[in-house]
Amino acid sequence: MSEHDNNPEADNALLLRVAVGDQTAFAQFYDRVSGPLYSMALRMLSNEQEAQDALQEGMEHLWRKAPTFDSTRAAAFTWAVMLFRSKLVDRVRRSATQSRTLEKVTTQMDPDDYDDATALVSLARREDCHIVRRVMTTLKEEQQELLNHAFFSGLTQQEIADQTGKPLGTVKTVIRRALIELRDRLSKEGYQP
Amino acid sequence: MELPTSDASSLVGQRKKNFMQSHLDHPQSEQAADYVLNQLDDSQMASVERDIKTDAKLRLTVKELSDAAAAIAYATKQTIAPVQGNPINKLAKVETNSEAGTKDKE
Repeated sequence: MSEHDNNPEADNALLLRVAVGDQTAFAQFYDRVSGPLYSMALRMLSNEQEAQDALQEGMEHLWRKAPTFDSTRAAAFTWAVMLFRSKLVDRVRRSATQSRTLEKVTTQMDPDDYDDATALVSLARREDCHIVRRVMTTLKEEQQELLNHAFFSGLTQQEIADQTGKPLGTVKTVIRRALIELRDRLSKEGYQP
Repeated sequence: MELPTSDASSLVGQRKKNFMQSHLDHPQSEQAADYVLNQLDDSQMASVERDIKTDAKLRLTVKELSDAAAAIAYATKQTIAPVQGNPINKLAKVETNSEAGTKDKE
């Protein structure tokens, strides 16, 4: 696996092999993305069994959707994360756990604090993790809070506004600008998914 | 880790190029952010997807915002995925279900 370190093109090549039914490539791709995907599921669902079920369901979905992957529109990691997140959002919005989920996302990560460091299978992924967390802490506190809500809670902007007590217009504006600023700051750091 | 001077300067140059490419906001950047974060209704999403097909700059904006959004996945405690969740052994079952005409969950 070391030959794929810090190499988005290698991830893209793996996914293109998955798209033509290469199960070995799919197993390798699972190894590369399952840590962040499972971690995201745990955060959003707050239940290990549900997260495992969601991961299984999500990976089957990625397998079926792999032929639609277009490397000109997204990096392989981005494609996998966002497709998986969409499934998680659907699951959250169907369930009754939305109110608990919003409470969970207020915890901010220290840039040097992560358990199960081997969950990130390569040095490059651990460096990416460090960069992202460090950049996130440079956003304004309100931006961090609402962007985390928007990404991890699965709630609509209206629901986030209702639960935080902030005006809907403020929630929309802050989240949009936070994501745009995150993009700009990650780009300055040379982050590539 | 210290990079050789030539590698370091080319890396800085590439980073600056990446930044310059991305800091020019598209007029639909805010709607693109909503699109990326699943905050649009079906008709709004369809509208953005139509625009993406014809507007290269919007396509790039959505790509960049998606990369940033996907990065947020790192902003939570990273946990090892269960080995038994590796779907490689269950793909045959998925494909068999498809062949038998069983409706897959979407």
